[in-house]
Amino acid sequence: MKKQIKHLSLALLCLGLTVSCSNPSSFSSSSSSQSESSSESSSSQTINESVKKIVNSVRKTTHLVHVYQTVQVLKPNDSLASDVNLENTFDFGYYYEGEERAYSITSSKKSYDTNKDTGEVITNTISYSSSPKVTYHRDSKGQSYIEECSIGNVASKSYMLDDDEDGDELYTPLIFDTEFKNPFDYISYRDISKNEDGTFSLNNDSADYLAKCYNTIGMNKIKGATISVDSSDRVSSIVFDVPDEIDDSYSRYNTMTVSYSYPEDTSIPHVSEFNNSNPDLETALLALKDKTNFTYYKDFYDVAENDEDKGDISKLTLLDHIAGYYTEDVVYFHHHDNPETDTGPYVLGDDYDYRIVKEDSDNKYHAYEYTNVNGTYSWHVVQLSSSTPYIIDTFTEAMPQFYDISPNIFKKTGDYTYVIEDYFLNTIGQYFDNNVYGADSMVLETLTSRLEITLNEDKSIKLIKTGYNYENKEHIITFQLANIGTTSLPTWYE
Amino acid sequence: MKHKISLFILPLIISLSSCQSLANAEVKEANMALSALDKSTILNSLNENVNISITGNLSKTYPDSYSYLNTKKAIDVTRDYYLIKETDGTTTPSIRDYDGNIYSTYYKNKTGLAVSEAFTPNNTITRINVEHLRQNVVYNEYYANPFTYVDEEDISDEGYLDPVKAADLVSLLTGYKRYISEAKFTVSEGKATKLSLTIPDVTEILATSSDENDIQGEEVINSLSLSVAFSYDVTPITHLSPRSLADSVIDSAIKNEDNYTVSFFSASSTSTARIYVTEKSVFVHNSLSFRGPFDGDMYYLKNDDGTYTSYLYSFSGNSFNIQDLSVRRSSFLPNLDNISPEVFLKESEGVYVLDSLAAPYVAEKLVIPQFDITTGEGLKASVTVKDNHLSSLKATFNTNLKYTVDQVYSDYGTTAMPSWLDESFAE
Repeated sequence: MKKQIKHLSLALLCLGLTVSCSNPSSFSSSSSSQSESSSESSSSQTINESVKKIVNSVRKTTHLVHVYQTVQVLKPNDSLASDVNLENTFDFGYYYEGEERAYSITSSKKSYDTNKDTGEVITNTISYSSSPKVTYHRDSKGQSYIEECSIGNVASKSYMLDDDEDGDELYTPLIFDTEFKNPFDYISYRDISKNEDGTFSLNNDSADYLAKCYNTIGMNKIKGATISVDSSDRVSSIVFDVPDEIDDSYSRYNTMTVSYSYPEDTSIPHVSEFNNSNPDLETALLALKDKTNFTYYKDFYDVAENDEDKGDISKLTLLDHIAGYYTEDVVYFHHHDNPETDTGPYVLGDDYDYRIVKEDSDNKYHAYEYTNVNGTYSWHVVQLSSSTPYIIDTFTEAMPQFYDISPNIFKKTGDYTYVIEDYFLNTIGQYFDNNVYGADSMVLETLTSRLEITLNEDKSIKLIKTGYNYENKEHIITFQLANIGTTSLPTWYE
Repeated sequence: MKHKISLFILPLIISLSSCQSLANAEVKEANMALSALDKSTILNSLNENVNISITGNLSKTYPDSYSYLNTKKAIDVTRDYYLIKETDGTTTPSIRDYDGNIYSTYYKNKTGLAVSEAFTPNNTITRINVEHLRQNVVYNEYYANPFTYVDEEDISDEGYLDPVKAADLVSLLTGYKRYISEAKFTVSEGKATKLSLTIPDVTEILATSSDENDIQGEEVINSLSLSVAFSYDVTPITHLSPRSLADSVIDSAIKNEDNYTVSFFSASSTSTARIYVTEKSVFVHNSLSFRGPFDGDMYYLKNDDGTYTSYLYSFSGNSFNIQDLSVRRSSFLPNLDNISPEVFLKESEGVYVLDSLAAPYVAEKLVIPQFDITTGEGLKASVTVKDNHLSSLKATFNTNLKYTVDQVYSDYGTTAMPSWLDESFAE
C-alpha cells in the first residue's frame, strides 16, 4: 500500500474542531442560569442511573448524528441591508469497533435572500455540499489517516499532518483523540438532569459546547437543550433552546435540532479497491484512448416536473444540444446543434460557441469564443486574466478524461447498463465532461448526483447519463459519442 | 484594557509535593483494586481544590545530517484549581498559573468568560476579559479542570484512566496534542497523587517538498515524556479586595505639587525632557543639556480659572507662539490626586512598588502624558519617596518591546524657570 503523507489544510477542522470544540466544557458553575450552585461538587449529587444510561448510549458506541441548523438575521430598519437566511446540515459518524475508532463528516449549506416586505424567497439561493464523505481513522499509534480510492481503482492510505505545536518547520501527525473528539466524552452525567415528562435537560455550558462540536455558526446564546430518548434509553434527539436576539438594528433567530441513529452494522466503514468485473465496460471506457477525431454530444435537460420522472430523459425537456467536434487541429463546441438547418455559429441567447485551435506559433491550442462585441459577432480570444490568454498544451488535455477510469468501480445494473459506485458520486461527472473551461459544467466536480453508462450491443458507449443536484432538484446532462475517426467540422465552419 | 494569554506556557516552578507520597503509593499500586467508591473519592478530590503539575522533557532527534538541529527542552507546568465559595452560595471556578515567582489568576464570570481582576487607580476592583487572538476567552475552553468530565467509568479497577481523557488533560495544560497509550493513577490514602503516562514517540516531517497534498521529507523523532502530579494543599484563590495603605510616607507623596522639577528619561527611546513646575507656570523643555529653548518646548501659563494657556516653541520661527487658551493641567502633568496611595506596596524604606494587579491601569497614570505609552500595558512601576515627596519613578510597559521610563523629581519648593528662558512672550 502506498503510504502518502498529506497535510490537511485544516479549514474545515479549524472551524469545527480545532478551535471551537477544542476543550471540554462541562463545568456546572455559577455562570449557569439554571440554578446549579448546589451541584458544584460531584459528591453532593447522586447520579441518576437513567442519566448514566443515556449518556453511555452515545459514548464509546457507534452512532450517527444529523444536525439541522437555521440562522435568520433580519434587518427590518435598513432597507439596503440584506437579510441573511442560512440552513446548514451536518452528518457526523462516530465509530467504535474494538480498539478501532473513526470519525466521518459531510455537510451541506444553503443560503437565500428574501423580500423584506413579504418574506418571500427571491434570489441567490446557493446550495453547497461537501465532497465525498471523508472518514478519519485512528491507527495503532493514535495517528489519523484517511482511506481513499482513485478512479483508477487504486486504494491508498494518507496520514494527516498538522503544523508542529512548537512552531518549528515540522509537520506533526494529527492525533485522533485530541482532534476528533466525541463531545459526550466531555459532558458529565452531572450536566444532565431528568425532567418529569421523561425528557432530559442539558445545562447551558454543555449545550453550548455540544453545539460548537457540531460546527454550528451564527448562533445566539444557547440556553440549554432538551434530550429525548428512544425506547432503548438511547439519545434520539436533542433540541437546543436558542432564544431570539432582537435589538434596534437586527433580529436574529436560530433553530437547532440534532437527531441520533444507531446503525445495526457498527463496523467502521473502510475504503478499499472495488472488484466488480466489467470487461465489456473496459473496452468502452477506452474508446477515446489515443483518438484525436470524434464527435461528443452534450445535452442539457430541464428539471423533472414530477419527482418520479427524475432521470428518465424520455420525459424531460431538452434545453440545449451541444456538439463537440473534436479534430486534431480544432475542437469546436457548437450550441443548439442542428446539422439540417444551421448555417453558422450560434448567435442567439446567452450561449455562445467556443473553439480551441492549434496554432503554428507554439503548437498549442488557443481558445476563442464567438461573442457579440459592439453589435458584431466574431471570434474573440478567451482570456483567463487580462494578461493571460487561455491556452491548452495538448489535445489530450482538452479531451474528456474518462479513459483513466477503471471499469471495476461501476456496478452492473442491467445487460448494458452500469452505475458508478456511490463512493465516487459528487466528483465523478467531471471526467465525462468536456475538459475545457467554458464547455464544461463545473458543478459536476462537486455535485454529481448520478453517473450511468449504457452500452450498445457492440460494447460501444450508447449514452452517458449524469446530473447534479442544485436547489434540491436534479438536473440531468447526457453525453453521446459518435463519428469516431470520421468527424469533420461543419461545412460552414471557417 | 485587555489581558492576553499565551498558548506557550513557560517553564514553571516544580511542585515538590509530588515526591512526598511515593513510598506509600508503591504499595497501593501493586495491589490496586479500586471500588466504585474509591473512584468516586478520587474524582471528588480531583474536582475540588487541586494543584496539577506536569513535568517532563520534549526531545527532537533529526537525521544525522541535520543533527545540529536536535533539541531537548524541559516542560514544567503547574496550575492550581480552586472553587471560590461566594457569599451568595454560588461557586466560582478559578485557576492560578505560575511563571517563576509571578502568577496569574483567572476566574469564570457569570457569562462563562475568563476574567482577571485588577485595581483601578482609586483602589477599586475591576474585571478584565481575557483575550486570545482578540476574542474573549471562554473559561472552560482553556481553564476547566480536566477532571470535571471524568466519570467513574473512565477509571478501571486497576487504576488506569481512559487515555483519551489523559490526552485532553495534557493538551489543556501543556498545549501538546499527543496520543497517550496508557495512563495510570498512583493512589495514596484515597487520593490520586500521580498519573503516569505512556506517550509513544511520533515521527514528524521536515518537509523537503512544498506540495501540501503530499508532504515528503526527513523524519524527525519527537519524544515526549511527562508525568503528572497532584497535590491538594492549594493556597486559596480569593477575589481581590481594595488594599489598605502601606504607610503614611506613601500617602504623603502621592499628590499633586505646585513647585518641583521632574526629569524624564527613557531607556528605550531618545525622548528626554525636564519639566519645571512653579505656582505660576510650567515649562516642558525637551532636552536635559541644551541651555536654551528647544524645538517642541511647551510653556504653560496658569489662568485665573486654573486652566493654562499654552505656548509652543519652534526652531523655525525662533519664538514661542500661543497654541491653546484653556489647557487642563492633567494633559501635561500626571494627576496624582486621582491615584489612591493604597495601590502601592512598601518594598523597603522609601521604596514602593505598584501592586502588580494595579499596573495595567495605574502605571500609565504616573507617567508624564506627553510621552505616549498608551499603546502598551503597564507591567510594573516603582517609586521612591524622600522627605514626603516623590523622588523617582521607574515604570515598564509592554508595547511591542518592553518600554521603560524613568522620572526623577527634584527641587521641591525651590524650582524656578531657567535663567535663559525669556518669558516676555507670555506677558
